[in-house]
Amino acid sequence: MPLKTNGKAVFGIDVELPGMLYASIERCPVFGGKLQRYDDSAAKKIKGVQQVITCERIIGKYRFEGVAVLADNYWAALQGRKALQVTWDFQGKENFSLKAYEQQLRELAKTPGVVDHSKGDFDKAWAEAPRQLEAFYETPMVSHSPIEPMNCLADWKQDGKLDIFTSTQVPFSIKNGFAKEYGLKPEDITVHVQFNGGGFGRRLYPDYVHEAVQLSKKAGRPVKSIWTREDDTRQGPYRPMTFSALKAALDADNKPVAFQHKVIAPSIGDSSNANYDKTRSDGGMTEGISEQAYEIPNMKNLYVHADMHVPLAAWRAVTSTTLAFSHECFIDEMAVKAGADPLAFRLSMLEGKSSDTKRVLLKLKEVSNWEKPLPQGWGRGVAQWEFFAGLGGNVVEVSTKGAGVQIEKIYAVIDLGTVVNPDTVEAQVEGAIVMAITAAIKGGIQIENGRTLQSNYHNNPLLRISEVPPIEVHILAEGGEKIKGVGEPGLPPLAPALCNAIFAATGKRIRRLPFDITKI
Amino acid sequence: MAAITLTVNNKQYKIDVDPQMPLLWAIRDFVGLKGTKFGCGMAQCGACTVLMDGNPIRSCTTQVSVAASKKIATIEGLSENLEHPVQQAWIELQVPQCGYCQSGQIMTTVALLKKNPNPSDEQIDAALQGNLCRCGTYPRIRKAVHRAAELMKTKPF
Repeated sequence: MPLKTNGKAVFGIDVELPGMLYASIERCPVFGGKLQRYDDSAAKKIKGVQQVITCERIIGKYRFEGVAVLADNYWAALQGRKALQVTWDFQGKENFSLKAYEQQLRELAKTPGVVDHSKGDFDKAWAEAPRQLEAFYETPMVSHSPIEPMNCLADWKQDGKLDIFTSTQVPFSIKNGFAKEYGLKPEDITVHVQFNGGGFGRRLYPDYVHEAVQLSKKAGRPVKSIWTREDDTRQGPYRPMTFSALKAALDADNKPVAFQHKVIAPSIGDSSNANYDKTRSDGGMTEGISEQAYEIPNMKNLYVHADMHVPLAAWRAVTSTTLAFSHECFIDEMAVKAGADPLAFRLSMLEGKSSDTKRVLLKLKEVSNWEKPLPQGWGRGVAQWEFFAGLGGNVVEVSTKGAGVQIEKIYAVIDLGTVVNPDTVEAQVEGAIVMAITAAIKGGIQIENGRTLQSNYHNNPLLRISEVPPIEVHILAEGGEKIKGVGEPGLPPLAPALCNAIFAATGKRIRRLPFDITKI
Repeated sequence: MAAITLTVNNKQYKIDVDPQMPLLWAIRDFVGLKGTKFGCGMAQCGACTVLMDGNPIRSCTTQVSVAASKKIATIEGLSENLEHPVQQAWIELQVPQCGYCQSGQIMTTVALLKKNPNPSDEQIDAALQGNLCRCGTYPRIRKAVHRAAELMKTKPF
């Protein structure tokens, strides 16, 4: 901690080696384009520019060629890159529009898909039930945008040994994967892991390490590649969007008897693996939807795969960050249809047995004073989410403010078996909530003409300090021997709890993220 | 290229650089102080914040030639042994997560407390509005600014 208050913490971007060159790499602005030719004569006239060479960005099943300007200092490399004349073959991908793609997802929702999880007889129960409801939810692609841009210092030495200095979440997979890719022995590769200036899933993908390694091999010197913020924002990988078609049925007593969550989405697994099987359900893209503790006798969850050529990635709390929104908002819609209090409705599906989810909801009820009336114009909403990384829940209170709403307070409960450092847990949950608010009400990546429209923090904004509401974190450590995640479960419940609160305050049901909180 | 003398943390550095180079890269790659960070290159994130004659500025959009006749303060010059009250408050409240943005957050706070030794939440938000934190340490930053203000009352720095 002291190192992070006096400038002494060494991040990947801070490492230097004698004789190293700095690199800045021009990549195709259109996803899927190919390098045709380049003219580096002007670039080479910039003082400090030493070499201009190509390299390949390897990310999952994709390989994208780029043109790198190597220079004595980073500023010169950037100036050299600006002076490059590069011609790309866009391969027809310049016609890609995310708006049109979203329309395809809506069309795909009408196809049957493959079964992710089934119990009872959903189709029969749905057809016979007296009360039915359906809804369609949509979410965006988002960027990771850690404040430390991607960077790597690679030193491919004369003796065939490779030194890599970088901020990464996956040093061991670099060692093994790179040995295979470059014909080295794993023991010849040393990954010197530096402080990570934010990962959030982005640094699971060593594409930026591949580039630096190839450049060092070709240049015969240590090379340090630093992405610009524009590179980071425009080149992906992104968390994919998920679209959700939901159906539920209630019996004559308003008890839920049938439930279906159909996910329509491109796949992180497909992006990572050339041998991906499109005919099967994809647990990565249906994450959590069949793991909720609610007792509903007839369920059938489905996945509809959508092809995508833009590199996709895990993001903090992965697909739960979008599916918790659709799933838990729809549970709220069911409560409204049943004329029930949303929290009581959830508890009614957890009767008769103890569960971690029930414990979380009861704690939320207690700490938020759920039954205490709120001031006029306010509303509160609840949501919980259980998935591979753990379990958490939120109650959010909002007030109406002009045409929009203001978040007044967030109560967070995280369910853990064993707690080592409660202060860290609290910090992680606060941070997860801040990240979740950003994803719910800011930006989202848009692509038109094959290119990402966002470029930097001015048009791909993050939450700022003035926008952070009071957050109260409660830790449950009654789970016995179970050990659960701390970094991720704070994130998924926020968007649905917020949107459920907005419904309570305004009667407006939000079914698409992101939304403008100042205009509901 | 031009020979420029930079005064950083009361020490003079003679460097030979493109006068249009942003101060950020001069500090990092020529002066050799890496605590000041690159985040966006367009004054949007505040990771590169340093003090120029006591005022917080974005070194990523300030040309090195502009800084030549000024006094520059970076995170490395705050104290010898972490005794600056802002550093102490940051450690006490365990503010940093990844830590990458914190040099900028701390330098902005140092300038704020010099001007306003007792800021309200609103004044803290206004001062730190330009400093992004992707880890979301904002709630703790607010608390730590108040704590640093308190520490400074008993131990002026």
